[in-house]
Amino acid sequence: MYWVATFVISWVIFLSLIDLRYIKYTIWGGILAAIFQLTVDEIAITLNLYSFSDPVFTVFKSSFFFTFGAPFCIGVLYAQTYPRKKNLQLANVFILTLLFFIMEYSLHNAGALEYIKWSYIYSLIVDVGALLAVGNLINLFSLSPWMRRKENER
Amino acid sequence: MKDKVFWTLMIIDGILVYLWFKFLDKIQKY
Repeated sequence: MYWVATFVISWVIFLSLIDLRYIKYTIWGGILAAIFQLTVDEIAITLNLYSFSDPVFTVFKSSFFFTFGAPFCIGVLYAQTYPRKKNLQLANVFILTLLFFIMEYSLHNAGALEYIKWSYIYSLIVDVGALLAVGNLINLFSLSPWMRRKENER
Repeated sequence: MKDKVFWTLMIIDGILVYLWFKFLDKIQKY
């Protein structure tokens, strides 16, 4: 139930903010974030570092409702709202990590996520790394609307 | 009790995520 709840909340936010004019670029932010999440969770679950309880429907040992909920939706909106200013790009990584962490804490506290050889600090480090990596790819492939608009104006 | 904590945190988190993205969207001005 908890994984489905995060899916529904993520999609409510996603549908409220999505700009469909740029979805063909920004969707790659979501796909990249989902790939990152699936890879990290596949490795961590295989190594018995943590486990998902009641994932409802699994995809690569992860919950389908998680992968195509929060990581995908946040990835698309991350690309859509990627700031122009470099200091804000960095601040955005830490703020989104904190907001993502609140969800992880809620899931762990509710028992949907069980830590075996894991701790909150590891999650924070992985989240910062993942957001920095996806941010780099957003820059590299010009996935944010302002990057595309600039290109079209040339 | 666990459910209550979960839903409270998730709703607060959802609102904060929405407001943060809305703010970034607005200042990006594309």
